Amino acid sequence: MRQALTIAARDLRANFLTAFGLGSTAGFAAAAGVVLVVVLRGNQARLAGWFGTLYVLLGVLAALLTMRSFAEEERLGTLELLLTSPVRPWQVVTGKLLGVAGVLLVDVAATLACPLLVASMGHPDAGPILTGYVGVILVGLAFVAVGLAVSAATSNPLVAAVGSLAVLLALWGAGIVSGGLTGWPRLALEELAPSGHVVGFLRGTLSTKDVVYFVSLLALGLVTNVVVLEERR
Amino acid sequence: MRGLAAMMVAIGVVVAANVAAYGHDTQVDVSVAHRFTLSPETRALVRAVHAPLRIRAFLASHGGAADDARFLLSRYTELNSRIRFSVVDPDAHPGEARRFGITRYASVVLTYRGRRVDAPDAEELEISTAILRLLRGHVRSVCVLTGHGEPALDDTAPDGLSAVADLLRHNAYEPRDLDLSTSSIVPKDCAAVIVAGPTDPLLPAEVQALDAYTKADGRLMVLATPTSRADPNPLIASWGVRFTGGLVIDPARSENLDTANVIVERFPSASPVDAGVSRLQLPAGGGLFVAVPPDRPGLSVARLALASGRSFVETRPDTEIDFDGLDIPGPVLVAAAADDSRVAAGETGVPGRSGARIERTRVVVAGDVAFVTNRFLDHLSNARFLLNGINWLTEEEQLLATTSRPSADRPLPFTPERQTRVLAVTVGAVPGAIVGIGLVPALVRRLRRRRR
Amino acid sequence: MNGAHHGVELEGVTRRFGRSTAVADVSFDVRQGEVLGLLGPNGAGKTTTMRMITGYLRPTSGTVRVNGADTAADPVGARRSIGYMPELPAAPPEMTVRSYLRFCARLRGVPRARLRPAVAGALGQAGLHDVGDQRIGTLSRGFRQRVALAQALVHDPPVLVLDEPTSGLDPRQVVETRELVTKLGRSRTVLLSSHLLSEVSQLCRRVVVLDHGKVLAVGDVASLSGGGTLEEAYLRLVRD
Repeated sequence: MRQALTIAARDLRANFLTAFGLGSTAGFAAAAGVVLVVVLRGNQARLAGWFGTLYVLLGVLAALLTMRSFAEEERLGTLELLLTSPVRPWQVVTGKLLGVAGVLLVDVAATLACPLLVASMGHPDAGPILTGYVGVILVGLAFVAVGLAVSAATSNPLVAAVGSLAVLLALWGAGIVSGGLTGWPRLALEELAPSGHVVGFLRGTLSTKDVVYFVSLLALGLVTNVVVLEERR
Repeated sequence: MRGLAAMMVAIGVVVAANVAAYGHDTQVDVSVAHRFTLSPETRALVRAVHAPLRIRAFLASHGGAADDARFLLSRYTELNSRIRFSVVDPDAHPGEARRFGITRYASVVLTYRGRRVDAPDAEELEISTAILRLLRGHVRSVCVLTGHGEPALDDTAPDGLSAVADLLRHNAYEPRDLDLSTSSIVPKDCAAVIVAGPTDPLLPAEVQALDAYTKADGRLMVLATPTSRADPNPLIASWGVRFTGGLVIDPARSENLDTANVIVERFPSASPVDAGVSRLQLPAGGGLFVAVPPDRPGLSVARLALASGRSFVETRPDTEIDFDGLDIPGPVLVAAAADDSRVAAGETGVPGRSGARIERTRVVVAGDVAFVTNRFLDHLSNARFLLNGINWLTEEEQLLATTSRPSADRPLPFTPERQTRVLAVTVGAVPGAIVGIGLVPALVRRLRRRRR
Repeated sequence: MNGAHHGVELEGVTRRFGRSTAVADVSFDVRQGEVLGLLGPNGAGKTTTMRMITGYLRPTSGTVRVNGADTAADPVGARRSIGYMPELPAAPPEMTVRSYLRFCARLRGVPRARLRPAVAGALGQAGLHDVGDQRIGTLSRGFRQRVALAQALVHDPPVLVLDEPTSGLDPRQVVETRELVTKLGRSRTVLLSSHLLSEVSQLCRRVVVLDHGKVLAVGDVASLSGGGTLEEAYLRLVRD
């Protein structure tokens, strides 16, 4: 675990030492603010629409952050040193995940200004805000795990980012395609898409199947990541 | 190859975990309103659905209402796969909307075994009530008095009541005409009787027949018009409510400077008749007052709707409309509901058992009939109010335990100043602070180097 | 297997990328405390061979042992003994030299208490004292090469694998680096690759000549040159 934390700490610090890292954090916070303005035009102290859009933005953010984790390191050549250090693949993967998760936590913390502003102007229900942020963490980690797996499979950061977005869009698209089906294929595709699993977070409810879904996506991403790292040796 | 095997195992485990979680889902609700968690009553009810039940919610696709409805209705389909739902935007699918006679947003149509019941809103209470009424199956008659110049149930003109007939049919009631000039007894299968705006006086025999009906566990709704020769007071006087006569005028809350076209916004009672009613439009209504005799402990009268504090009753509407010494000062009561439970002296209805039995009379009175005519029924909450009244009379409102929930409405007027403030903080201050803090290490390094 | 062997051993090591074979049936060993030169033209398989020793690549067949640990059975144990300087001096540009070396030391298991002296030692050995607090991205190519060397030394490994350690350096830096390698070779096992004959003959007692992924010759510099210069011997080998 010490090695994983070492990698995570380095990635976290390095992110905020680069203009890219600072820019993505500031940009994410600003985007959340713009979305808030649009949502509040409904004149209701409800953040369901805001969180819904935030989850989509998390997909973009995860793709951008994870492209640096493996693809950018391989392009620079530093991945070779990381993988030839006495560290197990799962430690590398855990470290990379925690590093991006730390960045994500800072980025998400910067959006806390939005619910605070809403609370200062109206009387929002605290429950959906709480579950909304639980959702942010779950969705964020799951999307990061997907992004990391894609990032490990390529040495081009741009390909990594576009690839991660493509995978996430494909998952999201499963929910749209399901609309034209019936019976269990419809159900399976509906459950495959993240869109169907975030709706509860927006409304103050937490259900086990949604939590299991995102934890599964996270676990599958990490396993794929380890396998990709091992297969490329 | 080992990697491939690991992937296969991982996918298998994940799929199994998700299937298991789907089958044994538990949900925690931390919201204040619990709008999206079905009550135990609903869960029990939904399990009793044994044939395909189709729910069509007609909602605008923009805004959050459609998403909320989808989420809520999914909770029903999760519990019972015989229930299926669709959320239809009446603007995008006008044909579908017309097929079900939908003229407004937020209508939910439920069909089951060839029957139809509408829910006035896509909220759990409304939908579950509708399901319960579908499951009960039978259709109850609502009898509407005719013969005195009342607007007719089959009249599709703006002054007719065809929309009321549709509303009743969509809610498992069969409206039918009641003619007391030929038979002097109200039929036993009338679940409720409506006296809707007679303009000619009722015959004494008719008044007697209605009074006898009401006193014997009857359910009566009286919608009067202030400009008629019929005096409705003999029908309702025994139940603690009387018409003042004259026309309600509200200089403060009325439509288009027509001070007699009153908008009512105060619903002080906790009566189920007021549930979900936010505003009523009463064009040309009369006022009421409540006078409960002290010797009637079982009788209670709920003040359903009050016009604003500046309203008054113009007792001579044919003269200049202004408040003078002959007029009655407001706030004017425009609708009331009386409930009278008493121990009857007679025998129990059960053979072989003697002793007292409980009788219950319910009466809903409104000073206006125009508010339910075709022209106004869809205005504001008028239809909801009428249907609530019928449901209360027939005790359909008690089908489901009504736990009162905090309102989901959380107004936040988003003024331009507030928008500027939000943008200043979220797009200005926060990103600025992030970049500022981020530049600190570089500055520290530069200073350190210069010192050296 | 010789458990007491503390150098590097390769037995019948082959690596294929798809259909092409980069390294074919290579066997040699680097004995403890010696500086061995891996000599060959560009594309001969030197980097692939080194990557298989450091564990960045897995051999398609054959075994590699580092300090007695099999890289297939105990990859982490094998890597723990190695300090590796890749051909391209890669280091994260946004980090300072000191914090990067600290990171490398922690990653390779240097105890917390020994971090500071380990980093200071590596900075000193690589001649980086003056630029310790500078961002790596602002350094010249020569200094970055030294950073790559410093990170290979920071955890005090018994085995050093140096891929073209002097390429891209100016003559003075080349001399300094060669002196450093000679010094390191006194206490460590060193495998270095080069396409420069003069460098190999100057630094190494033994050489492995590699071409088209195959070992052409293994032996002392002296015996290989056979009285003549190493150049002549090398050209003779590669031409055949």
